[in-house]
Amino acid sequence: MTPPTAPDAPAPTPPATTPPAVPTGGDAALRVAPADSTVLRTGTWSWLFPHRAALVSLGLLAVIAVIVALATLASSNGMSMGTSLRGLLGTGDRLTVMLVQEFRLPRIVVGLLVGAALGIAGCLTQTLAGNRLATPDIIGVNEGATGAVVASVVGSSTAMVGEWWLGPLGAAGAAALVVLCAGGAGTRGYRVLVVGIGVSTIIGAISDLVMSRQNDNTAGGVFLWSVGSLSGRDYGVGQPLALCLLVLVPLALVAGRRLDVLRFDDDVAAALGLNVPLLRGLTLALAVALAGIAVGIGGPIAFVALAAPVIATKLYGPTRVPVIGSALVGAALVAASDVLGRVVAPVEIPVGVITSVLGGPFLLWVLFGGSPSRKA
Amino acid sequence: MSVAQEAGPPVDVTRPTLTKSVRPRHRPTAWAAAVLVASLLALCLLSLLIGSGRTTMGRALDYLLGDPSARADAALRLAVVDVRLPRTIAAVLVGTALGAASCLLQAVTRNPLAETGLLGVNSGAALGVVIGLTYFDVTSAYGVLVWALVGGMAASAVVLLLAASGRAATSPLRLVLAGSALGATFHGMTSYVLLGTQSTFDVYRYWTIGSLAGVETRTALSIAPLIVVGLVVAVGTSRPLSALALGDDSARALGHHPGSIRLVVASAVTLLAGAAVALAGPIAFLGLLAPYAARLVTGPRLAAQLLLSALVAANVMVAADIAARVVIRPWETPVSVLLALIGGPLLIWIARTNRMLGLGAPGSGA
Amino acid sequence: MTVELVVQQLKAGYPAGTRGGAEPAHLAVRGVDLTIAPGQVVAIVGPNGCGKSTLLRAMARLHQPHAGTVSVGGDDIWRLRQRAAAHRVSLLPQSPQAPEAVTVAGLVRYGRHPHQGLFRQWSREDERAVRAALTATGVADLAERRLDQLSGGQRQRCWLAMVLAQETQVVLLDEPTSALDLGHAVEVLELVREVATAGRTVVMVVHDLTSAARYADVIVAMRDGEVVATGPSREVVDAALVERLYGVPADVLAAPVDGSPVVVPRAGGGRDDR
Repeated sequence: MTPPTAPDAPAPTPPATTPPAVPTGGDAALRVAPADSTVLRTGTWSWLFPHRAALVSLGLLAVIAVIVALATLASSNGMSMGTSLRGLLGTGDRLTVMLVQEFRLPRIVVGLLVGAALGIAGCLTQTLAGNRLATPDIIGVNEGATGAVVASVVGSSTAMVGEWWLGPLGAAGAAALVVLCAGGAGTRGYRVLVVGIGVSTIIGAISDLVMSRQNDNTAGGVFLWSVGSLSGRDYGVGQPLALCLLVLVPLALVAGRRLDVLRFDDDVAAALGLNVPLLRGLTLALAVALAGIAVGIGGPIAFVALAAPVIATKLYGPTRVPVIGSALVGAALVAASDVLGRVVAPVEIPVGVITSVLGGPFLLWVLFGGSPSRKA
Repeated sequence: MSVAQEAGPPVDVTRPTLTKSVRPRHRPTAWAAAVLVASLLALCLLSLLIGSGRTTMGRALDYLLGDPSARADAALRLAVVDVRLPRTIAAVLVGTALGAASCLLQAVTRNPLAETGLLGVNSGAALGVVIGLTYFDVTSAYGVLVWALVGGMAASAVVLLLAASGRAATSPLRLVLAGSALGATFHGMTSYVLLGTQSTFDVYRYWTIGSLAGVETRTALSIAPLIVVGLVVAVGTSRPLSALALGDDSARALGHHPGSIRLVVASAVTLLAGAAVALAGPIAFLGLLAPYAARLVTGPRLAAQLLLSALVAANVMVAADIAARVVIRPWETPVSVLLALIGGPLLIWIARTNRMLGLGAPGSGA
Repeated sequence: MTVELVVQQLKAGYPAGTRGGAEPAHLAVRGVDLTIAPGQVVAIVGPNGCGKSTLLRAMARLHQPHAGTVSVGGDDIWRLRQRAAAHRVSLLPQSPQAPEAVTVAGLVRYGRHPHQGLFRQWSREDERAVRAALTATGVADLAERRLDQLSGGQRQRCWLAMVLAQETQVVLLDEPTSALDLGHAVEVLELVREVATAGRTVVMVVHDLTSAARYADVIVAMRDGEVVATGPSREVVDAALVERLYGVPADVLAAPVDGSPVVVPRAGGGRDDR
């Protein structure tokens, strides 16, 4: 054990004449502000601007810009980049303009939004569970959304996937069922996790049973959805998605500051003034809402909710819960996977297939390779 | 299933659980085993007598008792010998295999929620099936079974190699993580193949639900040796594996090699689980709950757990297969769906009572 | 201004109560009354399961009592919001967990969390408090080190620094010395004295009667959820109390320096079964 380095060595007896424990100054030369941040103060207001986070965010935005550019210009049907560019600028022929502006662009935007939502949802659940592998699908979000979509397909006369809000509704329903069955969000969510497995499997079994009675076309349509695909997503779903994120993301940012403190155990967090049960409940609701909307629109795109926060933590450093970072990384991942799926093969590969095929090796790399990972 | 695979492992695998968790109740295991064997025999008999068709139980019984007129009835013979007998054999085999395999896996990963799907067996089998269907023009049920077996084994081998390679010895956590990560990758590949080929999808979507309908005696018996080998290895490793439950250091002090024990056990699990998934498709929950039920009776003794877990699972499997024929007569309900519908609420109930927490689950400060 | 910590008719049990709700199945604290003046160090002692930790957690607004009040400066902390309560009472739990890879300064900065907000992320006040806490606990040199790389004694002082940076009138410590060797335990207890000298109230749960007697102004002895004795250690701690609390015969001597009681269990005494 290292010897105590205290400059003020303890007095031999406890007399009442020791200096006060809280002097007004302390050692003025001692730098105690966060080393990686600039402090900005006006009057009683003060803010911290973390340098690294700002730089990394800018870098990620640049990466996203490149991905968007590539996604706009790249084509699966042999259209040249020049033609695509003219289409984007509206100077090409009508078909090209329509293809680029009304199919590709909306799809890219939806991909970015879905990715951001998944990233934040994953970040929130991982912080809640104190576990780097926790994702919203643990609490039944995926199966719930799938179940709702299956119901909509079976219930409709056209056997088409129904309204966009059915998925989120199913996700929220399943999550509510899980929390209800678990009797609350629990301390570290262990019970929620077990119940989540149970509820997911029940819903999944019912969906399977129903689908096994459907004809192959219907089943194929639902299967494509359940893989996770952005094919054909336009501003019709993009608009409500954007509106929802406009409300939910700021809330997640506000929660993020408090979630920093939730990385302590609950006792310390409560002693630091956090209403822990309330925060847990709200954060869980937020995560379910974000994941539900994303899954409802893009299908259960695997691994993004898991990988985005992990990558973001590596990029931003471990000092804070990376809410914005997870959103940016998630957006980049989904958009990049989608464009990859469009160009890599003659037949379009859905984004969910790309993320799940690449996600496995990625997960192993994160967990086994490189840095000594202390916890999993 | 995939949820269980991805979500199950990370929580508690690092915590030594099984030994200190189970309160030592010294109820005689022999008693329970005897009851379970008797009930298994009774269920097998029922399984031969009950069907979804029009054949009455009385006629089926006549046939079994060797009544000449019943023996001469071709339709009856078809129902009893060609349909029900293979299903019954397969159900016993699958149940036994899953019960033993998951019991081993839970012990080796020290995770009371571990399921055989964890090692990538199920997703590998699925990938094998779609590859066989799409690229090798497999058409027969036996062909599908062989591809499922090969896929499951191969996937599990990759997982084991990956977990065993590298600096750290095969830790339970590595095993589980490698399994769930590669499982997801296999799943993605399966989806890719499926999206390209409608005809494969049409077969696959019935395979993945998991059912014993259509099994032949020949197939069931050809798989049986794998399960027997797996069971023998399982019984042989139960002693060193019990030592492992005390922690790696204690096990080394007792003269065991934790890494190689885990590898052998995982191989046995692969054999058993691979055979099961090949016969019946992916079956959820049975592997999760049978060891749990066994532990309620046996306490921490692994050999006893293994025996009872296998017996419980065989019982449940045969019973579920009977129920599958009669629940929505005349349709077959896939047995895996049935098990999920029963197992899901059961799991939730267990999670709600404190027993699950007694199984070494962290947190949950009441 | 003098801020008293007053506990009145506090009852708490398991499962945790809702105010005015039904009596819990197991009552761990059965009607405790305490009045603690500012600047005092109070040590709660008693056998395992006597309710002392529950009492401390109820004071820290962590365990909802079933009846009674805990008031600091005239307000019941259970009627305040969590954040407002954190301005008045701080707590160091028994084995706290820190976020991954946190530095010492980072940890201590978290002590300012109740004082911060979206528009008040790092005030001069925060800076002063953190600096003062780091200096007072003697961990200023370690400020940029990672917490998980420090020894147990150093780590405990860092946690104490975090609690001090919260700058609350009442500081609650749950067995602050239980994992420390004698040297580091004394260091922490000395620090506790200094904190009280600066005018704050310290309430701690301690197992070691002798060090409790030496460092606390007031001993609160609990048994079966009730307070069986309160007062200055020299008046309260005697062989009868030790026997009553723990069921073991012991000699209580007077320390040569200042006469504070020293508890020496009698060998071969054992616990009598009653």
